[in-house]
Amino acid sequence: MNPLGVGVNLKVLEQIKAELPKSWADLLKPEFKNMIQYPNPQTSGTAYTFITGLISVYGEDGAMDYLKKLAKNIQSYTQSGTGPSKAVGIGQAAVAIQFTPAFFEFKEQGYPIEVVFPVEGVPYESACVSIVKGAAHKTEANTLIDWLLSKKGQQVIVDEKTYFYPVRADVNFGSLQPLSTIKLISVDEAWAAENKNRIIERWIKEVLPVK
Amino acid sequence: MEIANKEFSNKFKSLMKNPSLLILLIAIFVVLFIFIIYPLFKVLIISFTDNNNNFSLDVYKSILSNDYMKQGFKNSILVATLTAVIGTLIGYLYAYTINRTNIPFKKFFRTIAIVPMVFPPFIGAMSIIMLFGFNGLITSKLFGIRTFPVYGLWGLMIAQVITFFPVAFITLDGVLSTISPTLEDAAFNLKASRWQVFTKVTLPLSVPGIASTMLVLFIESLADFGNPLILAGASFPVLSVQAYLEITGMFNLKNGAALAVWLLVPSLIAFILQKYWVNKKKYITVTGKPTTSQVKSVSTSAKWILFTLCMIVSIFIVLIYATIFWGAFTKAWGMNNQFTLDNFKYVFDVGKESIKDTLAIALTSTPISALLGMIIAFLIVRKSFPGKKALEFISLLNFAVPGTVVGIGYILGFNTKPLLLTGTFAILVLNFIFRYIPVGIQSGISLLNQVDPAIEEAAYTLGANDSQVFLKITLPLIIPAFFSALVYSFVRAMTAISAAIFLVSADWNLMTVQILSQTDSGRLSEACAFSVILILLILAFILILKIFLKNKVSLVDNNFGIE
Repeated sequence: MNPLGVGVNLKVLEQIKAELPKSWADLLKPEFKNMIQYPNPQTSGTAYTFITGLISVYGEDGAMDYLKKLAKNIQSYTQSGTGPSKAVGIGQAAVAIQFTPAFFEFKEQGYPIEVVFPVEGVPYESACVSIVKGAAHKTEANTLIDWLLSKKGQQVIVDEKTYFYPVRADVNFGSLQPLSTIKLISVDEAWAAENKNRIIERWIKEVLPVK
Repeated sequence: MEIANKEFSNKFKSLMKNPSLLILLIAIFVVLFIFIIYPLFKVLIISFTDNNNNFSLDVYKSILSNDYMKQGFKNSILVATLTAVIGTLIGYLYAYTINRTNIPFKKFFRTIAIVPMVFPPFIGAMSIIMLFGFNGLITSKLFGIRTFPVYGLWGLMIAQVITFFPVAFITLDGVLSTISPTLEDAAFNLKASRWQVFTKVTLPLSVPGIASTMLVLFIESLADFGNPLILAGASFPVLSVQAYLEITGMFNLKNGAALAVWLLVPSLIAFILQKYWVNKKKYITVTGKPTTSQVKSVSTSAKWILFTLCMIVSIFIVLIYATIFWGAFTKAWGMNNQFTLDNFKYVFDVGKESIKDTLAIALTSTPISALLGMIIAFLIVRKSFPGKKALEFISLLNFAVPGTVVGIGYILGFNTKPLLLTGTFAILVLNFIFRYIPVGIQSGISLLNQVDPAIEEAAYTLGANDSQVFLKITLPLIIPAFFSALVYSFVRAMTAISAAIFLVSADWNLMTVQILSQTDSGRLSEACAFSVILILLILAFILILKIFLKNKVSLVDNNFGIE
């Protein structure tokens, strides 16, 4: 399990004299002008998750409104879904929005990165594992999946610092921020898939041109 | 028409008399067809079919109605044009300064100009951000500028001019060093001014070389993938990255293929222009007469201006590499400068397999590619057979085909039996062999054209057959071309990413792909360490080859002495 989050570079925050943002609304502050990166939904699934999450919070028009206001603070919409973390890591941007494992890794490496889960709530993705139909080694595949879902398997996912959240509550979360303190929002997946082209079109027409 | 037919049938008859040549030609045509033409066809076909495998233009219709993708096309052309013009301009001035003035440090300048041949993908672009970005060493620390547009056109163009600087320099250096200075001397004797000599003699003689360099840079820039993935950004999308993300980010193979076809068209046009138009206009001014001349082409003040320019370019290149080394030996690139060797320990723990794989793949594909290149060059220059023009075109074609297109073609073409190759060692090796033969072929052809065929004819007269002549006469004579092809294809195979990224698997992974995934997952210093090891491996290879080559050369001399 993998929540979307906001990565903040504390050193850059000091340079631009801004306070640590706590919410999506905080990101609209003028201090962040040209200092935020998030991926482009035309090329990145991460970005679409971000937008559908916002729609669940603000409604469709509200989300577009928010993104239009946010656009003034955007430095670059990256082409890839993991682009923002690199920029925030080396201090090119103050704030990056994407899935969180790379942020935690930067923090672990000693970069001045703080991960924020905005109080309004964040969407998430579920990492999947599947067995190919007609697989040659079906029993072995079953064993692997059983192990992955077991308490031990989920603990390994934490201990090996993948920075993915375990899907069981009975494992030790280690240094991960407890899931109970993060407000998760569910997205209507069927709706999201059906309306994908339309929403992205709207984003291109309404959000992208805003400077 | 009749004459042409007769010529064809004559060629055909003489070929029939030489069955081993016939078999070799058929074999070469077959492999070239399978590994160059067929994958391209696959890309074309899938972009022209709908989900039920019927002919359809839907994919193109949807792309043409999509402004964002049209923007990508325009941007790709724009940045490629600018990179071609500015890269050629800087490359020309640099090569001119080294060839026509008596500035100090020439050897240093020559060496530095070659260094970006090994431009580690992604990390090279990252170091541009480290130098010019919000916290950039040059822009913000030196000049206090925090708003330099490192994303988009300018940042990308700077990165590409540096990346392809060796290509520009080597070509233009070759052009300028073969323009005989005696021509310039003659003009000076006729009381021409320096400016007149430059504009009326030197520059016109270099025009074909300049045009050819521009077209090559244009092609390279269109195909570039590593730099735009980091530096392009959504406000400045480019096609090569769009095609990749359509497949890996949006899981839309058809759109990716159609974008790849779009990318292919301008590359092919540039390639055909370069090959059939510019190359015909090359001037030959090497006459065999003494070419030593006093250097008087530029005034003292112009000399020092040019020297400063060369210095700036060189410092720039050195800075980029220094930045990468800095990242490799510190805890957190740009944020925590504590010295550490942990990054290298990590690379050897986690990346050992990919280092081995990369070396195994590069060392297998490189000699095959260089040898095949020499054989094809020999056939094209020395043999006469029907379909020669086609052979030359097909074997050089991959030079113009962007890696993204080749990569997509390979996954489409080789994922079913009997050519089920995806995920194997073979697919990576085959990809590298056929991607990098053009250089071997071209340097082989140009060298062979300078070797008098009489030497080979003498061997035939003494009863040698084709393979003996090739192995004992031709190959030793064109060994320099063979080794330059070897070095080139090794460097490219080690640093390749655009096609290979589609072909790697859990079993066979490459260092460049590791560099990408390390940067993606936030281990920048480790990615720097990976890049440093990549650079060192390539340097080691070139060094070993140099030592080996020296022995080889003296060995040949000794034999000659004894006999």
